[in-house]
Amino acid sequence: MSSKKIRIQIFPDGQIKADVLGVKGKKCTDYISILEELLEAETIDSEYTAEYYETEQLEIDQEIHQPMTLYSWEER
Amino acid sequence: MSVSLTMIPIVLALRIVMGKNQFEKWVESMERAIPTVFVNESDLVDALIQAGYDAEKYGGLIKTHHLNKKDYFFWEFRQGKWHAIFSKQNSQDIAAQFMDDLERKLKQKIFHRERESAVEQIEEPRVFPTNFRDRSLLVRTLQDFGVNTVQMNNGDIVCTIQNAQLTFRQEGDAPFHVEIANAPRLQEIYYYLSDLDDEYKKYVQSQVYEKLKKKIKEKAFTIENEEVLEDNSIVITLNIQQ
Repeated sequence: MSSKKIRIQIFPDGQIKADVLGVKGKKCTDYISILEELLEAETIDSEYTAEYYETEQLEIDQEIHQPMTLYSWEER
Repeated sequence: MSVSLTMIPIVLALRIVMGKNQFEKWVESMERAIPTVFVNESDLVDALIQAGYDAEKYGGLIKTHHLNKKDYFFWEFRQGKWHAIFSKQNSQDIAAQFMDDLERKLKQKIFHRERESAVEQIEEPRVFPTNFRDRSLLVRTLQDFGVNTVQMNNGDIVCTIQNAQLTFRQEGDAPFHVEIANAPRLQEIYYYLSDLDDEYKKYVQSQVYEKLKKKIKEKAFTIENEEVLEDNSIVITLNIQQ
């Protein structure tokens, strides 16, 4: 299991960059509100990385395949 | 990495870029505040959307793009009414076009433009946006610069810098704007405000860091690493394994 981390960089001009690392799929968006509260800050831009979308694809695949499996089972 | 966020602390606004070489741009940012008939935020937002404009919340203000989608301006709640805050760099034409268009589409008079004409004739005080949003942090920064500040009953912070009278004024949680009166040399005031802006932001960095450390303890997160980089930014890495 990859380690889950948050890297917070506070710049001298007051701006903040926060990276949520190793948290898969939509779960990582839960950390946006946690970070806003921790830092008393507002998010002005967010960027999702390849890892986020790969995981999303897996979740979509599972949703598509699930009913087919059930249908096959009912036919037996 | 899963998500990367750019954030600004709520005590800070990113309305204006200061710096030694930005004087001309700062002069262009001089505000033209035009009062409207809107008292409620929801009425303003509904009217804008009905007329085909956007209304995006932006650090205590509302941001609206002109129809060309490139230029924008802000709305700010001042003295009980919403004002359209155009800057001098917004051409008079584009601002006038916007006001005409909105009034035509909504079939009502919305802007009190006669007040703007009166202000333009007097030309004093000159009003500029700032990046300051936190009163105590602003007063602390001014005092560290050796400036005596007077806080008026209406909340204004008044001080004298380089023989000019500066009034910092805030409405709600919107960023402060500064009124400058009797400035013999505006450029010197700008340099002073630019230094003030730098110092205020350093305080913001320090305040964000201190509050973060306190909250990390409360939330029982663990700090894996902490360092100060060459650009003086502070990096904290938290372990959130649960």
